[in-house]
Amino acid sequence: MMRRLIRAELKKLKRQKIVCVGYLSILFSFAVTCAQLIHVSAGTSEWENFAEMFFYNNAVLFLPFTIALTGGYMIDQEYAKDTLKNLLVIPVRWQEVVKAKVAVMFLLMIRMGMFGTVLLMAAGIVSGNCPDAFFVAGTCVKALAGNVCITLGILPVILWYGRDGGKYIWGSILSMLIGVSGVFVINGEAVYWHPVTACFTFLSDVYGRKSAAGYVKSGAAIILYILLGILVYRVRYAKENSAASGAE
Amino acid sequence: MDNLIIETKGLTKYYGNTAAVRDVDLHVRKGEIYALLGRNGAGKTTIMKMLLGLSSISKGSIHMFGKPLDGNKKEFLGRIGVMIETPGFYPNLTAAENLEILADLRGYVKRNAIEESLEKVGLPYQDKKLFSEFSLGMKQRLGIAAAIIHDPEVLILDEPINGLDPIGVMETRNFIRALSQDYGKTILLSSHILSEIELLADSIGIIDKGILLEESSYEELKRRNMHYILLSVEPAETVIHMLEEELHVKDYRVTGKGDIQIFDTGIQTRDIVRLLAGRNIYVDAINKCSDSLEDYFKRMTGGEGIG
Repeated sequence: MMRRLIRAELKKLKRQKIVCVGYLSILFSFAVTCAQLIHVSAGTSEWENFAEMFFYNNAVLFLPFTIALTGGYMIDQEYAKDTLKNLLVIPVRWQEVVKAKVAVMFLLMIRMGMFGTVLLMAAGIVSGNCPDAFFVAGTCVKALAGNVCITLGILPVILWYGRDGGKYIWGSILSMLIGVSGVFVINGEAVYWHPVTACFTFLSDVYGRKSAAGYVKSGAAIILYILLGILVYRVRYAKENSAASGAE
Repeated sequence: MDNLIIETKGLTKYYGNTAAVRDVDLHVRKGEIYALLGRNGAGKTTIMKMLLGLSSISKGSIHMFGKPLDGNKKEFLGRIGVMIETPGFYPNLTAAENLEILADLRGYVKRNAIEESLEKVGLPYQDKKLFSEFSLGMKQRLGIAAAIIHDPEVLILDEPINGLDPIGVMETRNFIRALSQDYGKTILLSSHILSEIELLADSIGIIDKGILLEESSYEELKRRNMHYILLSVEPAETVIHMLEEELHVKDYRVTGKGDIQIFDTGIQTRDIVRLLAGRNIYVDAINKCSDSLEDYFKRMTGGEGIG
């Protein structure tokens, strides 16, 4: 059933302009990084530096908002468009639908990560500074893992606000603020615990603070956000039986 | 009775301290078209939602296909097609794409079920028009198409002709009638368009303020209640006493004008005339009358029309 639900969720995204917002935000992030690079001297290699800045900009400026907007919209629409009742009489449990939506959110973020990597490679080719395939593959994995970790960090917010008709916009704004707050914690202890920057320890050579304690703290933070996501799901959705679901 | 497809006993729904539905005993028989009649807010949709498990039951029980709803909901829902309130679909998808999602989630529909169900309701299968561009009538048709996509035994349709143009109303009426007559489907529908119900329903349940005031076959309803004798006579109180004592009239009503409506089917006008003439009471008028369903509905619910 879960496979069918995920397939259904992917079909529902057809012609959805909100998905384009995600790709546009990555393009915008790419443009911002290009502009920044003009003013920043290169580190070890120009391409690597560019990739790190692009990853950082995505993480703190664009992805949290984009993820929350897309995810919140996906959940909210079932209430707003009154489509939930069609699913409940199949019967499909709303909790299962929400799980499928979360899975599709991750798939979307992976797709966006791949799109970002393609942009990076294109930039390398155009600038004649393309790194070797091994390095590109590493960057790609980092981008995908980064997107997944940031989605995990923002997931509690998405689930919390998606449930209340139209309030996912507030969830998106809160997520954007959470992302931007990452700029201010980047040099402090909080970088390990912040929902967006926790993954930097593992994934960024420039912005991550590598230490054994750092790995433990960041690992714990990511697990904590997963647990928080599960808790919010249980509070907001799992106890909600079909009788009370939206269609009342 | 063993041919009951839907049966409720004392079905009650409270929202806080307010009873939206009170002690409803509903009986829908196999192959019939059962119409729930009531004003907006009377409790029709709430009853349907409880039947589908979309709304919890405060008191009472529901049996479907001879089994209790509790514990069998999943099985029942696979055998029921549903359209509740305004049809809700994904605005960014076409009719066929919307149905594909539902068919895929059901998992066991026929290969060409989408095409067939769209054709049945008069929507083109290949149409690239998005749901957001649909008229209310088209949305309503798509709602019905979604309800029949898995070839259910029972259809529960909430206001199925709402928003349709006259041709659409006629087509939908014929289509619902065909589903019942040709395919043996059992249909529970709600509507406030009484003229359509008169043309469509085999049985009628009249609901007002959450209470099922009357449930009977339409033919029986017509025979018993919608046909009556209207007697204009004075003094009404004396005549009523005589009718009760001599002719054992039980089911009657005095109108605002002082006329007497007699609904007892066994009473003949000649018996009344003979009785009153024998007592030297002058009869101003005596007529056999027929109520429309709307008149009857007003009489039953004690108020304005249904709209």
